[in-house]
Amino acid sequence: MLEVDRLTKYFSSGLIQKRYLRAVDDVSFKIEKGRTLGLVGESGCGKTTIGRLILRLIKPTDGKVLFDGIDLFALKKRELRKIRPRIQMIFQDPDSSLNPRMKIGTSIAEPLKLHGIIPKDKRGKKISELIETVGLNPEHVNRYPYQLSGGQNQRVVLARILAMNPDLIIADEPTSSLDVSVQAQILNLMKDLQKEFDHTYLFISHDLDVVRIMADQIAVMYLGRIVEIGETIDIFNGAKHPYTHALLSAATMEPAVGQRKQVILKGETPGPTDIPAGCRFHKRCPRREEICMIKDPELVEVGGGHYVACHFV
Amino acid sequence: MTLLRISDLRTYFPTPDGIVRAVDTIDLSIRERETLGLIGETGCGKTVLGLTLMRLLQSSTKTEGTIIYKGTNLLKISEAEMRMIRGEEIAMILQNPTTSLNPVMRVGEQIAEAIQLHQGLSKRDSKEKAIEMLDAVRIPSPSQRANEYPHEFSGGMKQRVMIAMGLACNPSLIIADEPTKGLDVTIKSQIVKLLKEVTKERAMLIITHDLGVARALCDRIALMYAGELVEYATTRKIFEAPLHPYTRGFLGSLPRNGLVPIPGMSPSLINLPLGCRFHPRCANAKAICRKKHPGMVEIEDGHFVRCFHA
Repeated sequence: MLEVDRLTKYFSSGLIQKRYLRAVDDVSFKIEKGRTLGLVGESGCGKTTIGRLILRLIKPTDGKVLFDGIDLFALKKRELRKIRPRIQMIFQDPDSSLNPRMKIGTSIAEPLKLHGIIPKDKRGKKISELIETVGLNPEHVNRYPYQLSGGQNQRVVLARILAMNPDLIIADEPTSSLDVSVQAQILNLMKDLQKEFDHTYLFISHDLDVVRIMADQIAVMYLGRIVEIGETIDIFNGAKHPYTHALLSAATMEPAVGQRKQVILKGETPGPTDIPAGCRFHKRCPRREEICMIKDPELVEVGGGHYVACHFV
Repeated sequence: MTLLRISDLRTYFPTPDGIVRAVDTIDLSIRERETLGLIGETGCGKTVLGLTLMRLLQSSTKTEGTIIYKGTNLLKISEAEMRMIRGEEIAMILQNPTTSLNPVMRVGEQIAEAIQLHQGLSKRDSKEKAIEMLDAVRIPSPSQRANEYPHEFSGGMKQRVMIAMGLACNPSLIIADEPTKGLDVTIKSQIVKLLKEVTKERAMLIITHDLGVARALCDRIALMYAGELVEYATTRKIFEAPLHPYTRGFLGSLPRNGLVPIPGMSPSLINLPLGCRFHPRCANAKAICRKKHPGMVEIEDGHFVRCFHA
């Protein structure tokens, strides 16, 4: 369904002396129809940029994205507009994703109107159907976003997305602004909807616990690059990259499976404008040796679809 | 020995729409060198409880009950006396370091300010002490960093500065409000490790919604729902044998524990349900839960629960 091939995005700054910020650097992955890829990493690792690139909200520096066999970056404006309804995005903060001056019902009707999917007289019925599918009450149609809770607003966002009948949904931290008990409601809803409508998800999150529940495959990113990618079960039971170990033990506050000690990384992620030479992770890596400072490791397959970028695997 | 004892504490905000009962009849105690976790979801009143303890709420707020700290009722002393307690005896690490630090003041000076005020040190000595504090919270090259401004610090480093400020006057109790909120996971682990060292020598009240952090740091945990405590026990008991349906629901809704949501949402603190405040969301709710408000009952030694069916 989605194939991302050597996707790269550099942002440049400065007029005379150009400085480059390598937000996404040579990232490749595939997601099959009806499956979920969890994209995990800390702030500034480039995970959101990938989402925005796929939607063509920003222009890539290099690389290709194939959606259902169509090269998204080669599309003309008008062709792109035709494809857009099929790729939808959910953002982190539902309150700012909705127009505060539009009633919920109008908000949901907006995409139906814009893309002329459903004739005017049938829109009302479609809206009530959507409202019900996402677990809201019919009376919510006439309310404004400020009158609903964060969880309910995220349901409205989901209803808007369902209105487009999309194939691919890019969810960028969809529950990180919600309380845990409400987060569970939204994640369950997303899973149910996926089953019902055969959606493909790119699920962007910093929370490994959430990704574990949602994703079939996981890609771990560090400073613009994938350092480990594999089936969810392989990542949780047999992670190979030291950064993945650190993330896993940070989530549970316990050592990762197969590791004796909880890994607490020293220091902080360097800024993406001064990416270290060699392995990008070497400055914080507990296993660093000389080769790591010189040579950038490639992603190597360590078993069925499980790839790791580390010199010591 | 008990360091802080809160009895029948109530904090109400009068508003045009009605009275917001943010903190309602809370009984709680913290022993010396104990780490107590106060857990709850957005809007349950946990931050207001912290601010009430520090007496940092505006004067229109109605506060009743007693807060006995080392034998003194903090609600009865004058503002001048309270000022001597703040920072020196009880310090608060506020949530969101970015907005809690003064953006136009050097970090070292911000820490030195409290030291100068409380310990009567000279300007130079307090600056010296501030650098020591930055070093204690493991900020690299502290004497240089002390001269920088908050915007030159990352989120994790700012949180370290907040902790350094909290520790500056060597208080007996620290109230930390969401100390790991908004931090990346690997940075969160570092801050938890630092807090663990801090709690070796002093008592701490950690206000958080992050159960992982609470589990790693706390001796006892109190769960708050709609302004009141619903369960209160040792950390082990809370995780291994929770009794209140809300505690069970909260644990069960974690992705790691099966992602079973609690239906509905927390009530508004202006318009609380009759009877048990949790009953509209509770699967075990019976007739009595709709009518009568359950009291806090000690089920076994030190394990308190607010539920008719526990």
